[in-house]
Amino acid sequence: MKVLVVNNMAPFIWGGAEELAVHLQKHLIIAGHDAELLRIPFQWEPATRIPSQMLMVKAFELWNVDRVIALKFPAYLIRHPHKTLWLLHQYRQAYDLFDAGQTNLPEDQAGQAIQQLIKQADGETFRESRRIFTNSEVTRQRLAHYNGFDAEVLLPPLNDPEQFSGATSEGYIFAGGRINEMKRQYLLLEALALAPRNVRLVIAGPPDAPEDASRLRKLAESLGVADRVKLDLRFLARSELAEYVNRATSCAYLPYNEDSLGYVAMEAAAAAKPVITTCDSGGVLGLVLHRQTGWVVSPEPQALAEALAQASTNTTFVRELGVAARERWLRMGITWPNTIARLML
Amino acid sequence: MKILFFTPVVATSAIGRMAELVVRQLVIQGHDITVVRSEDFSCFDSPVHLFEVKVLRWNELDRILSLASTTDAVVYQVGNSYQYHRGCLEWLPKLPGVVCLHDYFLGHLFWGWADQVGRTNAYAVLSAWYGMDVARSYFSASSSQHFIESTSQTAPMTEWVASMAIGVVVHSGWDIQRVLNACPGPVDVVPLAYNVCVATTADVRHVVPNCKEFSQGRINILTIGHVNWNKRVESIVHAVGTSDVLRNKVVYQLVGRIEPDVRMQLVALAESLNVDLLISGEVDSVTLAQAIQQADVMCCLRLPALESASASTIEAMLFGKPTIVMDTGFYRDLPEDCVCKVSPEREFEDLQKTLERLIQNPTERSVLGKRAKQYAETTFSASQYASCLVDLSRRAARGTPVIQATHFFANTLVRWGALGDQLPLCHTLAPLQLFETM
Repeated sequence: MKVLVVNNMAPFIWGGAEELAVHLQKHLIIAGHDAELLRIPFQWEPATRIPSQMLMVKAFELWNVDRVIALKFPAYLIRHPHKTLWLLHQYRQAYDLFDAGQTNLPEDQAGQAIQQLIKQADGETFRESRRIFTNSEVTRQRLAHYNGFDAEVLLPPLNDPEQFSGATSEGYIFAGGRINEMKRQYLLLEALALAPRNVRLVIAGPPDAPEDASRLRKLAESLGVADRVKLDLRFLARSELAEYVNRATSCAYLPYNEDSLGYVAMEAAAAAKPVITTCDSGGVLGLVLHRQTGWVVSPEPQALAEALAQASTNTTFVRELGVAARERWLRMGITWPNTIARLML
Repeated sequence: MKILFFTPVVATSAIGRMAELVVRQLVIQGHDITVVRSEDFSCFDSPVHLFEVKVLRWNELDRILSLASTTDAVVYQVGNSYQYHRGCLEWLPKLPGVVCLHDYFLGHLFWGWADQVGRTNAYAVLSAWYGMDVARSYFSASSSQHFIESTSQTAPMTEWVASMAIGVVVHSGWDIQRVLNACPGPVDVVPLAYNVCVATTADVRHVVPNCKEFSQGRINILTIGHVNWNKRVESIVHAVGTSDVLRNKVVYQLVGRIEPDVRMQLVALAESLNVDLLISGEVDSVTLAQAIQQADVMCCLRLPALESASASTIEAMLFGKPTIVMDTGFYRDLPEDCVCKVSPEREFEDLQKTLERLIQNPTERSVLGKRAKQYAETTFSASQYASCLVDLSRRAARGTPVIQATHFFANTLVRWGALGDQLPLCHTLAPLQLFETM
């Protein structure tokens, strides 16, 4: 079967969704299909240009394609008679982030008009799709709450689980992933300032913008923790990333209301590392259970400092949490063969 | 070029007569024309203009669809009569084409359409183009005169038809802005195609009182066409009746359909002012031509002007008649030295003075008539009209993909609930400007 994977493209930005799309294509081919990846440019700033980009996607005509698997807004607006959605993202600034006051839509009638436009276009797309999967329970609930559509949860597998085999702990806590306000690396620095001096932290990953990196560096200096934190703020090769995870004592991941389990948490679990997260981290809580597979605390520096203190010592308890995290992850059976089978049903 | 040509063909339609001239020229120029009759069913058995090409009726759906699949252009002759142009409205949304717009006021056409499709649809069109207030009051006129007065400026429905066309031909530029605002394709001003119908005694089928005999050497002033209030017949009767120069030297003749109440009013007015008024009623085209030939002066006044061009004025000029027109609308574009123009603001005074001057000066009548004939013969040419129509159709066809894209985007936005006055359209439309290079 000829399957077209359709995803957004923000030039020179590469993250989990981009990796997922590439691996989806790869594993479709492994499963015996012809598969290609269509990446459609999308720039969400300024928000007033979003409608024209939605129209562009809607105007595309596909042929010589048996099935479409679309992943993100607005790429999923593309027309095809047999379209399956694997919903990684709606445009959250029109939904929950709009309600939370964290939207980039203008605070006027134009903003409301764009929000309504996105909702209506989404509704049309959800109606015309043959099946809808979401990448997490959080996404599923959001879809039901805001759009009134049900979906099946299909958690994304790790793309290279063999790299995350674990290794001897070197006594640091690793916080990977994209660097931005939503991932709240700043909270970890504030917690580090309150934690015992033996706690060491490695924050590594690509900043969304240069300001995200400089802000974090300045904060480390101002808090006086620069000597206890390594800020490796760049795009890392997968092998480099796996090395950081495998040699960590624990990992930390504090996104605000993450849609999915989160690659950072999945990679940590695969490597048998317990994870520190917060009670408002969304989908991550599907994997991290407090004092069973990691620590779930309130998003406050003091609570996080106490978790950091426990997580940085290579005790039996910490190692047991890591093993439990790995077992929980494996029990979920989230593999590419299983995923492709469900998507292509 | 293969062309589907929608037009009324009934003999009583002046547009049908013009269409016959244009179709003949299109054929001479090598085009393959199929005429589609656009009249209401009730007209199908009436006498028709003779077209020397295949003629279908608009309700022959399968044949038209089959032809449309291989045709290069579709042309619609649209005027202000639902009875004559119903087929155009039935097909225009399905087979977009070039519209030859014969009237800038299409209220009666729209009213007929509204009766057919229902007021709900009509209100949607009205409110979309002119707003809710206009829509609410549109159908409340107490008379035809009131209807025209109340809607010709606020809701002439020109935009409604123009927006469905891929290109528009108008016959004068006086109200072209409405068309430009609404039509997504090219809009050209092309002088109306017309010729004279030469009458011979043998042709005359309906004998009307011979004005020359009736007038007994007096001067004949003639107004032709449906006697509507905007033809200013009362003004002419007043101008003649209150002038010592005119009153006993003039016979004023009306040829054209006239409602009984209008006839009674005009007769009473003429009697009260001692004006010799001859009302001949509706006649066939040959008899009409005879009446024009007999006239000394033609009065082709309109206020308000509603049409894209006036066939009766052109006909008067082609016959070489000195013609008085109102200085408005289509008439304003006519050369000053070919017709006599009456200011709408000084209608009575200008009209009376002009009539007096023409009546007293046969040489001026003759010179004016000759100049008018010369101008009309070169300007209102069917050959030129046919060439321009083909050229416009080609340009409109090139723009069709852009129009289709525009409709796709607009329909999508509407389906998504976009409100034009709130969405930042400048940002939404800016990327579409690439189409302007096509």
